[in-house]
Amino acid sequence: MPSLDDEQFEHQLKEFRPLSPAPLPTIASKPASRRSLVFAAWATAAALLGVVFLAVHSHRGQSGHAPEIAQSSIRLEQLTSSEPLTLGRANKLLGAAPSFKAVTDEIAFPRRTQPSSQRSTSALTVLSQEKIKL
Amino acid sequence: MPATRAQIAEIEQLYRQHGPALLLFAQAITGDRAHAQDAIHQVFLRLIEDGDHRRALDVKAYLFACVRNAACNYVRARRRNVELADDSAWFDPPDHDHAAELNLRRALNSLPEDQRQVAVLHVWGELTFSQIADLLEISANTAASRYRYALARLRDALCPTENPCAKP
Repeated sequence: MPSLDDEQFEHQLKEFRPLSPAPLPTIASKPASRRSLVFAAWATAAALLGVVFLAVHSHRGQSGHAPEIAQSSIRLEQLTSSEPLTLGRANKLLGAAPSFKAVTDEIAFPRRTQPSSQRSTSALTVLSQEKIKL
Repeated sequence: MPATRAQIAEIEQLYRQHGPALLLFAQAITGDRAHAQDAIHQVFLRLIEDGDHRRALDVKAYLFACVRNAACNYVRARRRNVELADDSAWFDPPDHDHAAELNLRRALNSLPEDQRQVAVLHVWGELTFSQIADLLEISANTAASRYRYALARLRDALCPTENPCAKP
């Protein structure tokens, strides 16, 4: 039987706690790989959703731009139509135009705003009014 | 037969519970932490593959026996006397007294291997002399006797003056 001193000494030795070993390779890696698989699945799904969203958004953007540009060019035509170019009008033009180039183009080469049907009508009217003798 | 998820959880629990004492025991045999670590990993990975521990009557003693076999295989493979490495700590010392930890390691190092194994198994492994006897294939009296010698030598090494280790 160990004496009391032995028990005391044994107790003192037990105060030195053995260090823990490194985690087992399978314990450390298995849940991590499962987690990484789940993460990869979620990441792929999120990336796919993102691609679909971007595709839809860009398609809408393309189709939605055309009327906007057309609308702004009509406004531009109205502004450049008849009045003389002043600083105030130039500011208005720049505000309404989609780009600076569009403004300069519109001022340099003004579009004919009269519809062709109106012009043809007037030509017919002119011809019908003329009395041609054969 | 590979272990099921529940069995792996059980083995993990055994590893957490007995890992430190098993590592210390393997270190006492191999002399260095890296090979001791390899030995217990080898044992537990085999348990995960085979689940043999479920057939053992005394799981704790079975684990120490497995670790002893793995560590002894390593020592046999080296075919030379083991010198205990002095560079890596074995213990988390009380009050962060690392000098005391080094002294204890050196004192354990100075013991003959059979006494060192018994001391580690009884103090830190908390195995009874009967369990130690089964594990080392010796009688319980021999185990107790080796322990007494080991304890006396440790005390001489750690407490050289007249019993300053005894608490007031």
